[in-house]
Parts: sequence; structure tokens; C-alpha cells
Amino acid sequence: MAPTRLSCLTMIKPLLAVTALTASLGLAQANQVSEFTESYSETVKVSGQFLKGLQFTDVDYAVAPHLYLPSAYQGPVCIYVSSADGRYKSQYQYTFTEPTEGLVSIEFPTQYIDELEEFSPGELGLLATAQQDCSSLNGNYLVGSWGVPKSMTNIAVFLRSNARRDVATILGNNDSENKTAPITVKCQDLRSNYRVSYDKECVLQGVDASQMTRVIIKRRNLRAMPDEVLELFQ
Amino acid sequence: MKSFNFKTVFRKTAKFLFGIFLTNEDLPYSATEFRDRIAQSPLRWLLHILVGLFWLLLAYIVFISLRFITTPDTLYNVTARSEIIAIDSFQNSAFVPWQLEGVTRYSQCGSETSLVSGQLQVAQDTSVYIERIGTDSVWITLSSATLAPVGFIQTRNERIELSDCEAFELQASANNSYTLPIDGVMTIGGEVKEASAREPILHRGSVAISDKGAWSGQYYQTEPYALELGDKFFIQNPSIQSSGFIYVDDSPGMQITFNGKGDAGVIQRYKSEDIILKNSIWTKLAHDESLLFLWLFLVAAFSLLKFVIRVNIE
Repeated sequence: MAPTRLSCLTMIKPLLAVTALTASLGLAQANQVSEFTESYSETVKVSGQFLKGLQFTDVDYAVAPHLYLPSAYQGPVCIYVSSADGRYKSQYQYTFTEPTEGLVSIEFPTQYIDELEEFSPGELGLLATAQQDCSSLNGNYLVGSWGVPKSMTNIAVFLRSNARRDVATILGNNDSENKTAPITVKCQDLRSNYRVSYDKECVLQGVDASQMTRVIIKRRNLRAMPDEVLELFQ
Repeated sequence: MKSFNFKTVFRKTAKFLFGIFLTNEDLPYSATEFRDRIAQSPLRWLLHILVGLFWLLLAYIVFISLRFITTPDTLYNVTARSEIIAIDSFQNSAFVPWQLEGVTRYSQCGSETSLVSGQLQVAQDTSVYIERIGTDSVWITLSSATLAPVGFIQTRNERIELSDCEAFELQASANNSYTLPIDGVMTIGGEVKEASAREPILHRGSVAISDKGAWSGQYYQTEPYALELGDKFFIQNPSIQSSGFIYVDDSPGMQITFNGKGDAGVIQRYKSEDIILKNSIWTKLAHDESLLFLWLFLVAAFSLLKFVIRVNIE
């Protein structure tokens, strides 16, 4: 019995390998990484960006960025990665050459894999926008994650904020129909780290990632500051 | 049969217990011979008792040394000149109430201001930030973890309920100085952040680490560790709340002093690895005179016993 099973496996093995190889080759040809820049522990350009991450929190951390596309998308996405302590930064453009939908893994050609593995998911901000031109500011945000999320209901928003009070509200497609109050949370200071790149997180719980349309952040610092509105990719 | 067994056990143990006194000696005996000679010496009962006491002493010293080395009850005394301190409540214990006189309140951290006087009682689950850049006003910001109120102010005739974010501006000068008591979990110093030209930071300070002596039960102090410009310091896994106070006058920043207990002190710096401050086994042993004395006493007792035995068996 055992020898036959073994021979069966040995016959199938090369077949499997070939299939896997063609599949991965096909993927690699389909989607591509371009304009990758990264720096670790160097002086980096001051960006002044407010938003530094939009990601699922319930993950087994792995240095493998994943993006969630609620509907089919074809074209470039712009990826920004920054660590809270400001030691790591990178940005690149990743292009989907075919319409893609759902949770997808994307390439991340970093050479600092060992350093990045030392971080926890809350210390490494991942921000992705779907837009044609990464130098413009009109993209729609995608929710990402480090590794495959175990659930897609908890989302963290990382901010570099000078405000005394930031309150995030998430709006969905069916808020008006369900008559459920939109989820509103107060953004908290990220303690215990030395925070350079971002210093606050807003943890949104019980979110339906497929229905999110926008996140509004109301800010106050001894005066009302203009709301920050994050339009999400639909 | 039983007594025979007991005797063998006793003889074997005696051989083992006496054996230690044969070390570093030029006595021409084997351990068995050594034991037998002691067993036949005139003062054999005294020798047996003394050697038994010696072993008990050794066991006791090893026991208290181990207990001493493994106790996490390290006390940290911190003094610093800093522009910012953040205070959180320790395991939901209460904050110290503050008496405020004629301070400007920025309701909901917004632009609406009013002058208030009264006793400020901060609710649990609130983070308190006290900031003062240079000789500017002192800013107290209260922010709750959720959207719950941060506490209330009891004035002479009313109780003002506060919102989830409140800021208070205090004017400090040479003849209008403040001493604010603080209880809770402290973080002193701020971060140098990107996209900002001026953040409140720590100027200088020192952390003295103290441990309790094993025998005396009193704290002894080791050399204080200096905090440098821009350092951030907190106590990791505090076992009790830290307590201290803040003094503000016309000199820049705030003078802060507090003490607390915990596993270790942590210093964080801009784009650098954390520095952990704690007493090592050697600093602990070297600074506890009573324990050192006990070990010395043990060595002296060892030599004396050896001498007494030798005199007796020859």
C-alpha cells in the first residue's frame, strides 16, 4: 500500500511544481513593482503627511503586505511604508495589469527584511492608494495588512497629529439603511514607542471592510481644525 | 537493623559534610580517614555541632542571596527638568486633586475659553499631559481613553462637568509658582518628531536606582544615571504607582521629581535602541554591605573551623 502511495506522490510532485511555477511566473509577469525607494536609519525627507497607515489589526505579523480591494481594480497603486520610530521608510508603485479583487498579496522588494521582522504590526504603517499618478494627492485609500488578516473587522488608522483631540468616524454604504450609528472612536497616543513618523492610532472595531466609503477625522487643538477626510476605494 | 542503617547514613553524611574542610589543605588523609579521625577526637561532639551550624549558615546565606537577587522591588528616584510629562492612572487608582485659581479653560480642547477656579478632580482612564515650552504658560491637557468625561471641577458653589478633552492654561512666574503633586504612571520627556519644528522635550535629569538590602531591609543607592537632552524615560511594568511633584516658576520648563518601583527603567532616544536601567547582580551584591558581611563571616568561620579540626585530630 505504502509504496504505491509513494510512487503516486513522486509522479504528481513534478506536475505540481510545474503548475505552481507557471502560476507564479504568470503572476510575476502580470503585476509589477516600479520606482521602489527605501531607506533605513537615514535622514529622510520630511513629508508632513498626516495619515501614515490604514491597516487590519488582527494579523499574524509577516513582512508581506496585503491589500484589500472591495471591487475589481486594474492599474497602479501607491504604497507608503513607514515605521513609527522613523527609522524605516519606503515608497513604491505596484501595478495590477489585470482586474483584481479581494485580498491580494503584493510584492515588497525590501532588503531590510530582518530589521522589519523585529517590528510589531502597530509599529509599521502601511498606506496604499489606488491612483494613476503617485505624485498627486487624489488617490482613494485601500486597507492593507502585514500578513493575512485573521478577521477584517478591526482597522487601525495611524496619524502624525499635532492636535490635542482627534476623533475618527467611519462611514459605510448602508449606514442610512441599517440606521446603525457610524463607528466613532477617539484616537489614542501610541505610548511605549519613541514616535517620530506617527504618534496616534484610531482603532475602529466591528467594521465591514467591503462597505466602507470614507473615514472622517475631526480635529481640535485649542481651535477647530479642518476635518481630514479619507476617501476609500470602492 | 534500623539503628545500623541510621548510623551508615550518618557516617556517609558526615564524610560529605566534613569533606569540605579537607580542601586546600595538605592533610595526608582521605575523606573517610578524616571523618574517622574527627569521630575519635576528644571534642568530637562540639565539632559535629559546629560543622552542622556552618552548613546551616551557608544554606541561609545562599537562600537570602537568591531571594535578594530575584526580587523585582527596584526603586527609581527621578529628578528632571523637562518640558513635558504624561501621567496615566495606575490600575485605576485616583489622581491627586489640584486646586486651580484663575486658570483659563479651553473647553473640549476647542477655542471657547473661560476663567475657572476650583478643585480639579481627574477621572480614571484619563491621560494627563503637563507641558511648558520655555517660560510660556503651563498647559494641562486631559484626554480620556474613550469619549467619556475627563472629570469635574468643584468650585465654591457648583460642580462643572468636563468633556472628553480639556485644556487648562496656567500663567507661571517668579511670584506665581506652582507645586503640583502627581500620582500615577509617569512618562517624562517627549519625542522629536518629523513635520514639526518644536516639540516639548526633556532638558536634563538623573535616575537613581535603589534596591532593598537583603539583611537590613533598607534601601541602598547606586550611582545615579544621567538623562540627556531629548531623552524619554519611564518605568517598565510598575509594581506600584509613582509619586512626586512638579515645581514651576520663572525658570524654563518644569522641575519634576518622582519615585516609583518596577522591573526596569527605560530610556528612549531619537532613532536609537532603548536603554534599560536596572541593577545587575554585581552592583546589588557590591552595594549591600550586610550581605557582603555575611559572606565574609562565612569565610572566617570556615577557616576557624578548619583550624579547630586540625588541632583536634593531630
